[in-house]
Formats: sequence, structure tokens, C-alpha cells
Amino acid sequence: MLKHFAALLKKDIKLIIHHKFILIMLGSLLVYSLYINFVYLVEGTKTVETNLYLLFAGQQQQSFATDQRIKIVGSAEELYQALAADQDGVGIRLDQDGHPDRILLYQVSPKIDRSKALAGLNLLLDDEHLGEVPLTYLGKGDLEQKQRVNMTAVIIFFEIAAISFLGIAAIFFKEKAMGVIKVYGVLPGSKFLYLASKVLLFLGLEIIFAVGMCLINLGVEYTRSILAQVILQVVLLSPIMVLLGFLFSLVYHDLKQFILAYTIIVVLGTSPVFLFVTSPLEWTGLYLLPSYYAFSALYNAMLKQPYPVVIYGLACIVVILGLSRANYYLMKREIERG
Amino acid sequence: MNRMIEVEGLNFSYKKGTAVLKDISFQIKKGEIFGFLGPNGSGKSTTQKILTGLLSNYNGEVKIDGRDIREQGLELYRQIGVLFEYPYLYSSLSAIDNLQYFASFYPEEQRRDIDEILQLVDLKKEYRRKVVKSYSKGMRQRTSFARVLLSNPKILFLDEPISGLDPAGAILFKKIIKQEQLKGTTIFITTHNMYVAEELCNRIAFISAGEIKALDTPQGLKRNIEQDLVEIEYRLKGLDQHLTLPTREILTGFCFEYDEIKSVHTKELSMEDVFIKVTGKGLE
Repeated sequence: MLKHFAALLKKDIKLIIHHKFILIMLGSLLVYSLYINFVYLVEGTKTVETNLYLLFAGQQQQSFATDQRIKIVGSAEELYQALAADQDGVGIRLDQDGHPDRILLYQVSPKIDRSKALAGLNLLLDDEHLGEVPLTYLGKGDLEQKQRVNMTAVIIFFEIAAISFLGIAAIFFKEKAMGVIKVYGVLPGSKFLYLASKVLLFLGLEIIFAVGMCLINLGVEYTRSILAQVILQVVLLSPIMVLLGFLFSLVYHDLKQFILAYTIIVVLGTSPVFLFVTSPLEWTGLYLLPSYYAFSALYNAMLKQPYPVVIYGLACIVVILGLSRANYYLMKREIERG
Repeated sequence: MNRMIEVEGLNFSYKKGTAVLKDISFQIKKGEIFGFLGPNGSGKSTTQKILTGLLSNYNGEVKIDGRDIREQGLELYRQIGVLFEYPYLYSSLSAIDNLQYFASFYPEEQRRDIDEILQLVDLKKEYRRKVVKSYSKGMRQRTSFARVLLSNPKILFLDEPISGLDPAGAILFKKIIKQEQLKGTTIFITTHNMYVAEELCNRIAFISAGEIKALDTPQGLKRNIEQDLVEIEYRLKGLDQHLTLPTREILTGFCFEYDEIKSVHTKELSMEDVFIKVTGKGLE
């Protein structure tokens, strides 16, 4: 059995290499990383919405009720506590005359720090006074890293959801067109092994991709701290998407019909998740999408936040087993059709 | 008699109430070449799918080498080799890569040498390491046949084995089929090519509308029809004409107008004629 599996895997690797799948994967790793570092982080910081914490030197209190982001604190201690809890926020100390005296914030990068400070001051002053207030750093902030994690999680999820799904279909439709699936039906080889080889191959590729993305965009230290969790997420998610892609390519006769299913599942099923999970926008319909739970698990794992790993893991295993069974019967039907 | 394939009371339908195979029974001896001759949609492919274990929800009994086919599982596929009508191969792999992959499913002691097999099917050496998509249809068919022979099967199922081959390829394939028979391999050929069936098969079954209408040796099938014909070519008023009559009519004597008789010769029924007479339908 091990020999059969090795033969299947070897053949699948040859097909993947022939169809330049690995090149596409490496290319997307590069393009996505360039996007994160040179587009997303640069553009993303321009639109950072920070909370502004104001501390007045005297007893005077001004009303800034027009903007919900402005919060007035009563003491220096309260200001430090507020900023420690919200490290993306900006604190401003105002002098006796009510003019900004000092800006306090957690350090991210000169560009982002300046952008945050300007955004905070902008809520208070007109443009000509901007830049006159000195900055005081309270420590190292994590906004940039958070943004890196956000986008890296989105890309890893999209890669697994879209590329595994489409990749397996592209290979299987090719095998169907070549008729070799019929030959497999009369070989002394198990149908489960045929599926398992493809699942394992794509899993390997997705792990390489996910780890590569983390190393390039999150750094070695951070990646090391989340590596086990990220690999676990890929191990749970990639087989589901590969088996789903395989199932749809068995159900549909040609790639055109398949593309419709792909559009529904990938575009409609996963895109809203990226939009609502990584932004302050709210939409209750999100909780009906299975992809929400899959993405949340990956996102939380990458942000080192807690999530119900056991329940999620068990649910994934049940789905994987169910999809494997369904694929087995559909594959048998496909071979019978001849 | 050493029976390799035994089919008894085989019935099958894809949809309830629409029988595709109706009470089919036949036996094939070890080392026999058995032809299944019938038009498209007659039930040939369905019978082959059942015999190769691809369809299991049939009624009746099907045994391969004395064992019920449903009990054999993957073991069945170690004993059989199936050649499809079209050459199904990985087009992005070479002939050698394809054969190495397919060979890996069989125990080493059962496999034949890849170079020897490619030599046998006469696939040119310079093509063996090139990707299959650069091959002609005939070369692909040769590679497919090599795949089937690679595992030294006890039974060969050949679906339209010489379709798509040039005359040299067809002669080679027929030669290989006969060599396999000499080795003791049982060969089941499904075809609608009457010449292939007549030339290669020890026995032929005519299948039409899911039923076996006749089963005999090619000579026996023709003999059973009992209609030897005589063709007379003659000239009348400057025009060439011909007349075909049953031999017995000539023997009893008859009259016809002619100026000159050019030739008189017996005309044997073709297998297609016999098929039409037996089933009332053509082979296409």
C-alpha cells in the first residue's frame, strides 16, 4: 500500500511541476509579500483611525463631543492606562491654554508614528499648527505587526480556500480529460489512496506557502511563536478545501460549470469574511458562513488570541471524513460512467 | 474444461425498468479469444464493465478464474488488463514515466520489463522519453497496449483493439494478441469490427439489444445461416450486369437473358451479413 501511495504521490508531484503549479505558488508568495510591504502597510497607515486621549493640564474641560474618537482622561495615570490598553491610540497633553503640549504614543515606525500623531492633532487643530508638538514614546507599539498579521492571515486563507480549490480542480479535470481516471478504475489501487495523495500534496504546498508568508512578512521570531498553530490551521483547512474542490470537479462535467461553483464558494463565501473580520464593519449574516469560523480560527491563531481549538478541530475532522466518503462514492460513479 | 470467465443469467439496468442486459450467459475457456460483436448501445461495454468489476449492482453470476467477481476486490485487477478504445495516458509524462507509474501497482515478480514491452509494441526509441502529447494516435495506442501487457495479465479485455491504428500497427497488434493467446492468456474482445472478430476470435457472441442472439465459432455462425451464394457477372445488350442467387437455385436450374457470361463465382456471407441475418440489425 505504501508503494502504491508513493507512486501516486510521485506522479502527482510530476503533474504539479509540469503544470507549473509550484512556480505559480512561489510567484504568488513573492507578489503577496511585495504587496504587504510596499502597498498595504504604506496605504493602510494613511487611513489609520486612532482614538485620541486628551489630558488637560488645568481644570478647564473643552467639549469635543463632535468626534467619538476623542476621549478625555482625568489624570496622567489614567492616560497611560488608556494607551497601554489601546496601543494604537494617541495621547495628547494640553497646556494651561488648551494647546497641545506633548504627544504620547507607542512606537511603531517613524512613518506610522507621524501619521498617527498627525491624525490625532488633526482632530484638534487646524493644519498650520501640525508638527509643532513633540512626540513622546511610551514603548514599542504593535500596529504594524498587527497589520502584517491581518493581511498575512487573509492571504494564507485565500491561498488555501481559492488556490487549493482551483488547483485540485485544474489537475483533476486534466486527468478526466486524459481519461486516466478510467484506467485507475481497473488498476489494483485504492480510491482513497488516490484522494489521499492529492490531499497530502496540496497540504505540503500550503504549509510551505503559509510558513513562507509568515517568515517573510512577520519575521522569524514571531513566526516561531505561532508556527505550530499556523501549521495546525493549514492541516485542518487545506484538506477540506482540496476535498471540496475534488468533489465539485466530480459533480461538474467541465471547467466552465465548475467555475460557477468556484465563484459562489470562494468569492461569495470567503470574501465577506475578509472584509468584516479585519474591519470594524458589522454584519450578522457573517456568522452563517462556515468560512467565518475557519478564517477566525486562523486569524486568532496568528494573533495569538484564544479560540475554541478543540471544537473547531473536531468539526474540521468530521467535515474531512464526510467529504472523503462523498468523494469516494462520486469517484466510483465517475469510473463506472466510463 | 478450464473456464476462465463464467457468466450465468446476467441482468443489468442503469435505471429501474430499462434492462440493458437480459439474461446473458456464456463461458470462456483459458487461452480462448472470445469476441463480443454488436453495434453501439447493444450492451457490449456494460458487459465488459461488469466483467472488469466496475459495475457491481447486477443480477446473476459472474466468475473470473472460478471465483465470484464481487468477492475478489482489488485482487481482480492484478489478474486482468484492460485496453480501452481510446489511449488513456498522462499526456504530460513520457511513455516510460507512464509505464513506470502504472507498473508500480503490480507486484515486482508480475511485471514485465518496460523496454521489452515498448520494443514489442514497436514504439520508437527516440519517442520513449518524450511526453505523450507529442505522439500520434497510433503511438499512444501502442503505449496503451504496452500498459496493458506490462502486468502479464491472465485475462485481457480489449475494446476495439485496432481502431486508430495504421495497417502496420493493426498487423502488429493482431500478432501480439495471438502471441498472448499462445501463452495461455484469455482474451475478451469487444468490437463492432467484423473483420477483427472473424480473424482473431475462436468464438464470437452476437449481442443486440442486451441479448446474446448467437454464439459460435466464426465458421459455425456462417454455416448456421446456410445461405451460400453465387454471383454471376454477364453482358447484355452491351451493358455489364450481375446477379446474386442462392447456390441451390442454380443447382435446380434457372433461365435468364444474356449475351455473354463473364464470370461465375461463389460469394461467401460476410460476418456483417450473418449479423444482420441473425439480429435483424446492422453493426454500425
